[in-house]
Amino acid sequence: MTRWLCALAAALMLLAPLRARADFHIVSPYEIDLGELEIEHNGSRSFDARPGVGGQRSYTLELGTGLTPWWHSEIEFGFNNDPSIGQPTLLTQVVSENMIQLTEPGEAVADFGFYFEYGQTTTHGSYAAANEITFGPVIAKDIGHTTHTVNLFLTRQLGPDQTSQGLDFTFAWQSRWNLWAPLSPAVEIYGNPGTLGSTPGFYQQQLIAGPVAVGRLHLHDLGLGSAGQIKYELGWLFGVTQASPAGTLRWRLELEIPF
Amino acid sequence: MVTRTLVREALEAWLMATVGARRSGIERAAWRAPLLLAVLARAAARPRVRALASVSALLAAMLVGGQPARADDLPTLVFRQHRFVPDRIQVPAHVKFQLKVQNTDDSSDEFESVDLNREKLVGPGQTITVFLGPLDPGEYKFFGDFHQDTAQGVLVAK
Repeated sequence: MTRWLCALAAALMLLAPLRARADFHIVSPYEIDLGELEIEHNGSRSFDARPGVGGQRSYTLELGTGLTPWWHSEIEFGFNNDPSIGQPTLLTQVVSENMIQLTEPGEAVADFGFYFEYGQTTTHGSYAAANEITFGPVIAKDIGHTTHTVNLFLTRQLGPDQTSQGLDFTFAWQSRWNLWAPLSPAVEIYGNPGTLGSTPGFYQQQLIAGPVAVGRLHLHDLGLGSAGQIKYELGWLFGVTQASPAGTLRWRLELEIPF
Repeated sequence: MVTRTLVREALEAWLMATVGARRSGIERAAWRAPLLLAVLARAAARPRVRALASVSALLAAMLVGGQPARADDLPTLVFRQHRFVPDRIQVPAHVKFQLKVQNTDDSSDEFESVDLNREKLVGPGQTITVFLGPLDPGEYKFFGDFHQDTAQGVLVAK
């Protein structure tokens, strides 16, 4: 019954228009990394001729590991640069990210996880931002040689610098064709319709989607030891709505090494 | 047209599943629910209701797609001296199965397969269960992530 309620909720949410997350990263229920140290870098840059829409850059540096066979935890340092408000590249947030694997991969009809994070802002004055908590389900399913992953997250701002009093809904989807480990094609969608109950019209929301290359290289194959691997993602996301940047370049680089 | 296709696919999948194997009540319900949703979608007159039901049916079909019979009688895969024993294991195609992986070494290793989209740590002396399938016939490579130079194996689905 629970899984069907999740499916129905997902279907309802899919009907809603969406806009992009600031953090372009699909959370997977498969990556627990117990016994491994994960060093990860994410980055994105938006491109658009309109001031305030293009030129925004964000980067993260993350350290993570599996705390138990079903709990993956990371500490993330988030950096942002927004030329439209004259903001240089600043450490803007320190985030505790957690993914709880609810079902053993392959055991149920789909693979379920629950994600939650707490982001502590590090900026003050004119660049001040609110602290945030984000949580929601992570759903993945292997179908043949493809893997489909959906993130459905709600974010609540905390503290005196809130710009939103409600729950902000964000959405991310990745469908990947597992063609070849070093290079597999995928399609991603990132969206955020805004605060539940007061979402703007579709074209005032952000929605970006596009192709992404996903791959992994084993350090052993590169002659760099007998264990560990490098994972990467590189994609170009097109703006679907008027409020979205015309294009967004996103990348991810991850090193996994056992300890 | 989309609704009609969904109904047809759901019906086919449901018939295959029902005829093909014994199932629990939950599994049977999981198979029938997409069919029911699709039929409701077909019957619904309002476009928005129809769209909602179609999306629900599609998602439901995605979630339950590939729910197969099970095959549980398989040899245990063993990490021994940082190698897999056996290093080639045959499994039935088109069914779901559980693979036991035991680590007899004195250090941890990780059962990992890109082909199978699985990675799971196996501590020293531990035995884990990896849920796999249904697989198309073919060969699927797996390896020990912490000893990739020696721990390599192939799972053959027939």
